[in-house]
Amino acid sequence: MSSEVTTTTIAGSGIPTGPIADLTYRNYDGPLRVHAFRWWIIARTLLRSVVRRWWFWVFAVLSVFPYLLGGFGLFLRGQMNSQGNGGLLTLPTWGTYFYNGFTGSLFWLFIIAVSFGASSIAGDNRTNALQIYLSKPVTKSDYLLGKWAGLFILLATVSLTPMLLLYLFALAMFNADGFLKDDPGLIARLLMITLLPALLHTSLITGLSAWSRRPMLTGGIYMGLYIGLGIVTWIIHVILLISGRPHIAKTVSHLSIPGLLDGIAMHALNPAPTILGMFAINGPGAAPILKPELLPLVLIGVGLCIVGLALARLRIRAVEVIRG
Amino acid sequence: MIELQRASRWYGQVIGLNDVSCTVPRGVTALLGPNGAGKSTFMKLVSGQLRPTTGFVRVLGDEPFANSKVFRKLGYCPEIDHFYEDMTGREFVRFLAVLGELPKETLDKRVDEVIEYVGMTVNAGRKIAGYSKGMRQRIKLAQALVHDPEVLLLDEPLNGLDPVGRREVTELMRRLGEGGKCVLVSSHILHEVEQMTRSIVLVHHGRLLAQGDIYEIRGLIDKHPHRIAFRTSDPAALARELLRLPRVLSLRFDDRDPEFLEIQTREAEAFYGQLADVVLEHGFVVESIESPDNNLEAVFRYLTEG
Repeated sequence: MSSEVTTTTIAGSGIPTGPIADLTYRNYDGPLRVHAFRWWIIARTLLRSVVRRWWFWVFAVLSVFPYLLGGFGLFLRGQMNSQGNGGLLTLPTWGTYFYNGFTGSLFWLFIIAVSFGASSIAGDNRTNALQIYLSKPVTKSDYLLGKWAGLFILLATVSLTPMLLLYLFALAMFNADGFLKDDPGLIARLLMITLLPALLHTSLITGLSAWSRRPMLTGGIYMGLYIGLGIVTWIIHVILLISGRPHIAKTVSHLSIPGLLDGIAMHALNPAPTILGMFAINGPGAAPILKPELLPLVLIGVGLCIVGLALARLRIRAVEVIRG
Repeated sequence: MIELQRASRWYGQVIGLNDVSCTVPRGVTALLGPNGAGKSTFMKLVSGQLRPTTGFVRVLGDEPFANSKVFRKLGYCPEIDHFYEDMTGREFVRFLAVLGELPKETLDKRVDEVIEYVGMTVNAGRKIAGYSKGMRQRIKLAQALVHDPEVLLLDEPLNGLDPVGRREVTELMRRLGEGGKCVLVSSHILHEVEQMTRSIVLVHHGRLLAQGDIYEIRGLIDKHPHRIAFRTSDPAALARELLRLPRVLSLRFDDRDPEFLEIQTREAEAFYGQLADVVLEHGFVVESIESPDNNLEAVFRYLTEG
């Protein structure tokens, strides 16, 4: 006589079950695989959590508008080309359109950096999540690089995408008018310029975030730094202008976070003074745009990035050590 | 599996753990101590998040501090329970499983297995933000188990669980210990710990106060004689006979409870050996025998109160 045991399976899993669930612990007998890029797991998680938030998309779309204006300017240029032009208002350099788009998008990149960068490490500090992270085969450097890279990729993508689209638009519209021939190195400079805000914001806010347990406070401090430094440098700039030192004044006016980016972009894209960003002022009284000194801007920018990363590296640890 | 040799950890002028030497074998061991005793420092040294100031700590033969080799064999379940609130429980466990170096081929199956094991299959698809404290404990436990570590460190794993949940998690720990894992549980819910294990490590003021089997430790505490309480129909007659035994130190009746008798002895085991003879010889009806201070709570109290 044989007995038959009826078994069922958990839907979709193929795991056989009896009337009583098998809750015994099952050892894992599969392999473990060392990841070559452990930081990427952390970066990917940060990216996923950000792109789920609707307000990220709002800021990202808003950052595209200045480039749309640039595109519109290029469109008008096409119209003017076909109808002929001249006089005081002429066509600006190619870089001008991109410069205007870039500077217009800076504010929104800053907002994205504050909104999502302030909490990147501070949020983990607040919840002590690093205790879990750093109990896995992940080093402090993996963690820091992951957090840094996640935000960098996010900002770089937001910054780069509209710039590249505008470039492709210009290439398609004006290749015959010498767009590529006039300035073949433009694309390389554009790539460099668009990555700068991502580099600077990410390094600075990651450094601040690592020292905080309160994302809101971190965001507030970075906002204060961004705006406050801008106000201070502007006031010094006005004083220097009044005292008749316009060149130094110009450089000083760029010693803020957006100022650094703007100043370096000026050197890279060589914009012309324009009306509404579309027509170059080219009359006898028109002066070229006064540019700040490049070297101090680059040195300060690099210094800020290093300081930000060093601060973060110094602070990241799983355990809050209170010294008595 | 876990070994501390004269391990101390100082935070500036403050001492977290002071010259502690002990070993934690396979099975479940409870790490006990009042607040500020050094339990957390102990856990953090063993989990490789702190480096001892002096002495050494070894887990599976290696120093754990920032050591990925150890982390691969170690599951840590800290006391905190706020993580990525936007993630679902499954996403959270999956993410940490990837960090724990599980390959893609086995990842989802293993994640589902441990989620089922901790009883979270139904709720694993919900966001952590909506979890109760008990659910958070379970999902935290799942992430600690997902890479099937040999050593499990659980900081207050029973906190926030309802009685059913506590019983389930207690049972789960016990089974893991029986399965050959080294499970170190820090807890202050002593009666629950008692159901999990008899092996304890007791720290107090940063020092190791006792280590080993709870009943052996209780037997060594001479300062506090064992109390043994009886419920019997004739406590006076039983008391008279028990007084003849050389090991009985004192007797106590309760005027509110005519069936109550409590004796004190320094040698509980020898006393129990003779008790049966006395009861059988005189035909006493004994409804119950209890030893109210032969438990973890009492041992803990006696040792920490000095």
